[in-house]
Amino acid sequence: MHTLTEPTRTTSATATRPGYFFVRGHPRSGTNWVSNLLNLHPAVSCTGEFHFETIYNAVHRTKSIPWQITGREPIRTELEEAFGDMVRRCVSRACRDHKPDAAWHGDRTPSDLLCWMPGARYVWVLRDGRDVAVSWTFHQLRKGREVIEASIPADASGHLLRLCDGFAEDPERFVREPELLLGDEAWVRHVAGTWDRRYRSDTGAAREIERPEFDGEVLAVRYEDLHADTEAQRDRMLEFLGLDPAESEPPSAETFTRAGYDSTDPTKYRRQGEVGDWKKYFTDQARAWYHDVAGDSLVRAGYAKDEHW
Amino acid sequence: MNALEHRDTQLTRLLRSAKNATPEGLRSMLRPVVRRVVPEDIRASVHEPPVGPEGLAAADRWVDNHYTIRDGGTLRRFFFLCGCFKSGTNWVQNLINLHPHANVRGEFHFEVLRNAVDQLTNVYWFLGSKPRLREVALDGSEAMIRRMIYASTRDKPGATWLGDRTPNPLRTMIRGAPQIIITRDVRDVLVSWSFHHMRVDTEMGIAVPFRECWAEARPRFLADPDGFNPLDGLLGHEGWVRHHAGHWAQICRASREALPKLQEEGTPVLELKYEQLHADLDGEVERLYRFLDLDPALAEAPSEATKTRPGFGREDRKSFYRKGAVGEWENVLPENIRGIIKECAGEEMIAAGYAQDLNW
Repeated sequence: MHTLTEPTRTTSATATRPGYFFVRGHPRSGTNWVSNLLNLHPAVSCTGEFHFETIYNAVHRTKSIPWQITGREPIRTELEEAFGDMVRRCVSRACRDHKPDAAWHGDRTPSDLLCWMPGARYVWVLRDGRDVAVSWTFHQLRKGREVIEASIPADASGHLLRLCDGFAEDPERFVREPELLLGDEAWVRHVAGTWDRRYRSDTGAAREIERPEFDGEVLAVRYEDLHADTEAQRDRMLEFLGLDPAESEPPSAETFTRAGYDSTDPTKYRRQGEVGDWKKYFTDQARAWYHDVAGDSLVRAGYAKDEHW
Repeated sequence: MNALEHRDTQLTRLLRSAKNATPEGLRSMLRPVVRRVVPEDIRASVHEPPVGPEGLAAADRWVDNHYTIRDGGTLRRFFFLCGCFKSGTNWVQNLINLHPHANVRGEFHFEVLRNAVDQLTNVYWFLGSKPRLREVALDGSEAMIRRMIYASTRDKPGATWLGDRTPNPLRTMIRGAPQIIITRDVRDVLVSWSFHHMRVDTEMGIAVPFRECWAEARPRFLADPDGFNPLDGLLGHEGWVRHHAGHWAQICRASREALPKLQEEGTPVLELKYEQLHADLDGEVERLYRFLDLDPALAEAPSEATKTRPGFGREDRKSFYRKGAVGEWENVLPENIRGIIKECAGEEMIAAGYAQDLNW
């Protein structure tokens, strides 16, 4: 008989079963950093990125069509539970490969916070949307034309496509001419809109997860706080999982767990990791475009006091 | 105790026993009365027998191959029934369900899940694309499919073949699971589909560009269904014909292209034709049961009550089972509509054996 990893309906760690957690956040917000920090503890194994949201959306669609058999009980409930089991199996398999005895198994995916597994823990990583915009733009330029064409809507990608061909030959161009990086209205509105939508959606999901009947827990972690005091934030996250921070290794450059990077090479995945980098690249015009789309969310998230930034 | 067990009262247990003791033919006759008399929530619980000590977990694990599970001492297998819309998938479902050892339900539309799983396991930077994790993800998604089918087919405890019927092209849902596909002449499909939409009281299944036509024609259909000329409705709308003839061709092409790969992988595939079922019902039904390794002698005979005889002996334009005829298109479709069908589906009609060339 072929037996898969036994499904568990439990999501908190016990002596015999792992607990499950999910690290979520906008791309370029520090989800990798958070994952690396958590992995410093011997009881945590966090891998990524699975992108279970693809299956979650399909499950949601499948159970939401009222005239379809899948919208009725008991199939609806069975679908939800089977989805949870699939996620647990995949995450556990990946985590055991790295750390066989870990008590906590986690998936890091830079995607929406979703209310999908009762009882699980969710680490929600937040970063100033303007720094995200700068980091994300460099990331796209580094990835190149093929990825830009595949992942960015055509009405927003023109600017990146114009810049990306010369980027590899002259990556320092934006040091000399920083105003070029966010010099296109469609692109700035696109990155602002993506961050704004994600912030609003994640805020709603965090409330949903913490409903008593759902029994989930969310810990919001800010990139800027990680910079200010990495160890304190690491300890906060470990305590959130009920673990003793004293058992954790210290952050180090080798494990990519210290704040910032020694390199400032724009062609590197870990480019700079800086707080407030956006001020170098946002012109008044770019600020106006960004504010128009995401200004309210910046204020609500505590990244701006008002519209005058 | 789960939701299912909560609903399992003495009354539902009694009704379930009565249902299981009633032959399918008689059940079909009684169904309209039961629907009027028994409230929906009780009917739903009758349909859902209580879970055994193992719960629904039996469907979680496969034995021997991905489409077989051990449920207590019984081996149960999964299969899929597909084809184009209005091509006889319901008819074949009803025929299969005449056998005491098979139970097929629809429509699950597992393609939505499969598309997502394909993405999860193929995008190169997703962890699920790594071979060792890909296998776990595929296993998990197949367990989802087995569990859903199993949860909906337990009302027939003797069934060892559990299936899904969804009008779709051939496609792997569970690796190796047998597939049955039925095909029908696109010209009859279009006639049938146009009447289907006139009957149904929702625009939800109709693409946006054709809703105005539907809304305008439907009152005339309802006022005089028997006198309604289908060409005054969707069937006379060139865009609608183009859209659906193209869809038929797409389903046929996708199935034709998938077939050799499935066969190469060892997936058993049975190809049926609506017209052949009409011409030789007994022969085709025997082929159907034999394909699932079932003894035809154990099945109930096809009957009008179970909607398993060819045609329905009458035309009822307000019924899902309207007419079930072969070749009706010849009296209905004018030259301009035929031209559109040739343009959009002509080549696939030839490939499927419905035309020798485009001169018809």
